[in-house]
Amino acid sequence: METVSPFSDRTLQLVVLVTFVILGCALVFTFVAGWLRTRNIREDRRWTYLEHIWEPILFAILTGERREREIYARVLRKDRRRFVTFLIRYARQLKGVEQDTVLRLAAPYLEGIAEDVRHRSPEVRASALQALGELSVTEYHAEFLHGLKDPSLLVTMIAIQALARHGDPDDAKKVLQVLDRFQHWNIGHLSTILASMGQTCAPILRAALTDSTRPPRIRAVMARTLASLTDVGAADVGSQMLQSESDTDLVVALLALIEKVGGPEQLPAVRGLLHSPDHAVRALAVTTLARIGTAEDAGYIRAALDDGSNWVLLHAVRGLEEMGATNLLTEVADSEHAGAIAAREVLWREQA
Amino acid sequence: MMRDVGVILLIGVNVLVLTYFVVLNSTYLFTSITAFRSLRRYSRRLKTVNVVQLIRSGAALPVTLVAPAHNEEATCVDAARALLTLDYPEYEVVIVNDGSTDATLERLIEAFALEKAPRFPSSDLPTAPVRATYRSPHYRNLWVLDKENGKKADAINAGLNLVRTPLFCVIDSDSLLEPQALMRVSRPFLEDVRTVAAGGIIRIANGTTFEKGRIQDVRLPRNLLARFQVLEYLRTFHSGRLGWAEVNATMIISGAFGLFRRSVVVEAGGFATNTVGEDMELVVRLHRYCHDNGIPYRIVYIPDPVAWTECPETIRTLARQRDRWQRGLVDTLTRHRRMLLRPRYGTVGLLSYPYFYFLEMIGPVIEGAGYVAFAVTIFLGLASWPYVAAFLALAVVFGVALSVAALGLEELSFRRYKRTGDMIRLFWLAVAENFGYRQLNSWWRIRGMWSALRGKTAWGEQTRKGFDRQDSTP
Repeated sequence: METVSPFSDRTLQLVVLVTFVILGCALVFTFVAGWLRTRNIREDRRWTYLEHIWEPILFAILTGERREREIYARVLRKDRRRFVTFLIRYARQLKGVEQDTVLRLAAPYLEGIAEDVRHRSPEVRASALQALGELSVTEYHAEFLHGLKDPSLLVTMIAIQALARHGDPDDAKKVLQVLDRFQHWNIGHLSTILASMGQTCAPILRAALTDSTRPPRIRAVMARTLASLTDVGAADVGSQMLQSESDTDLVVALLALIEKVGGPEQLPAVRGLLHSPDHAVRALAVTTLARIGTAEDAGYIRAALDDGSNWVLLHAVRGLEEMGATNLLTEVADSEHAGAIAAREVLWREQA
Repeated sequence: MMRDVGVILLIGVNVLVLTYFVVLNSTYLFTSITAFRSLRRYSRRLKTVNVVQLIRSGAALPVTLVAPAHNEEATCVDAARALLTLDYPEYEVVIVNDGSTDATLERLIEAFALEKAPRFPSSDLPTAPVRATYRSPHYRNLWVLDKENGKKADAINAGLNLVRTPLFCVIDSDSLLEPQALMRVSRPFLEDVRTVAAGGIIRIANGTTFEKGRIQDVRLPRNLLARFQVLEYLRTFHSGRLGWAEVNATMIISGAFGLFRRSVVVEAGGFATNTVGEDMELVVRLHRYCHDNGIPYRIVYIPDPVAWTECPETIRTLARQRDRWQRGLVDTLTRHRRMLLRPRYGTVGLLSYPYFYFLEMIGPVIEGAGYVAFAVTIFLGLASWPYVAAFLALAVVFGVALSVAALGLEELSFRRYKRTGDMIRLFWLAVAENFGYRQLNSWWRIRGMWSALRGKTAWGEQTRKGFDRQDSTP
């Protein structure tokens, strides 16, 4: 009987050929996976062995029982990078004199790491800068400044973090110059990094905040950072900006700044935002009023209870709690008002 | 005449099956290759991230974990305890008891000394009636919401109404998050505000031992079906999800573990309550919503945050699960079919949607037709044996190659199965799954397709052992 085949013999040959090619790929994948496993096991064993040797010596050096050169004698050339990685772990955990000892121990091996800062792979460059940042920003300062101009955002961010921790105002200017590249990053995250520069950098941050040529999100980062640093001098700047700025992120950040460091002088600017079309702005304006406002502002906050947004309502209830308006809250909680549950929640929390 | 028609029909089916097979495996190969590049780069980048420092810095965005629970009395307390011990600076846990008929609520009340407490909603997504909200005096960030049964999506929406943080994480109450998983999965939201959703990897908990909700020892399960699923999950996540994420075309974030931007999900209407594939449906809807409204967005998959979940160990429960998955897939893809091959939806409309539509949704039917045609051809004595042998060999070898590639990716990156014996077993399973398990899977998916056409919407029950009672290997 005739067999069914829509394909020619050439097709069959092709299928067989492809089968063998794929089989070859499968064998290669198997070999690679096996090789990776062997390499990983070897690496794990090497690490365990080295930790077993280095750890007791390091502890003895930290307690002054042994000398630093004794650990150097146990670091083979091929294990130098492993040794730096080992020290980074302790540099992160220790403080003060002990941390200084660890940094000193790492110093002779950092030159090799610094060479990687110009490697073609951004991940290698980032990794090298990360290691230098943990162990010696001062010694390799130029590498970090170079990192700020790196085309890779990953590398630049690691340089920013290291320089921010270093806290030099001259570096702060350079860091802020490249920050526009990170305008898609989370504002809070960036401000946490910048805040590590410390209060001495506040004037530079204030100048950047008022620079209208910069993206609003980056200026919002400045406002958040100044709030984290509790920079009282920024309050006036913030309230002036509130009257002219319209970007939601920036306005919300300015409100957060005024909430933290503002006073009665800033109240008119804040009150003006109670009718903003953006619920996030209205909600934070209510919170800010509750924090820095006068008795007069309780009325504004009471009125915010009738705002259509659940968020504004929630902020209003919390604001009333902050202002000690317990009677009003009890009245709302016992009513059919839309905010009754929110008021009950706040009162329940107070009782608890 | 009849015979000629039959022969032409068989030839047609053969060509269709072959085309399907070539396109499907080429796609798998493509995603595996992109996943390899992506995973290698990601693993290197990970070395520059100090997760502990990130946690301590206070930069992390506040998160609310929403865990729907329906008849989870065996696992809910362990799972809740594990959620309360995550390494994350600021988070709340909202467990939603979705009308359980067992002692889920009682177990939670007893374990955490819960008290009734009011909680004002941040949004008003419609849900089945809420009976009460509870709070623990000992764990101030733990809330339990008790509501009437409305199925999983409804329970998530009820939890979502209580969320006050910018991000919320959906996690199955029978899944366990690794302590740093939340920090790891939230990183994309810190590095790009356009991120609206991020998913992590789901790993099979069967066989692995846990104590007080923390992993003690990762092992392969003893149950063969569960072992096949370990391999299947590795392939799906390492090769599939990562590959699609690389071209910004992620279509699924598992309902067992996904982190979302609250505002966008609420604006998009929350989880759809009239589907059993609410996780995929939401992700596809987010793509559509963001594109339609001109919102710049990213939906990402991150390979290192891990949620461990218990998988079915019997044919019956596995069949039910696969049936449900296929129904969810069919429902989502037909619901949003206007995205299919539409350039305005970018790589989703042009790449991943067609892939899921033609290969994952209709594929099992083509594959099933192929098996039938194959059987008929042999039965009628029409088979060209060299072809049959060559195609079978190619199918098996392709399947093995793709599975082995996934195992290579695992070894390249996270190496959870430390025992070499476990890896060898996985290699063996990569061959064995081609003889029975894959065919069974196709059959379940065909049944799922049929169920979808019949409008079946049931979830089906699944029994859980609980994490601290997993089958520990000797």
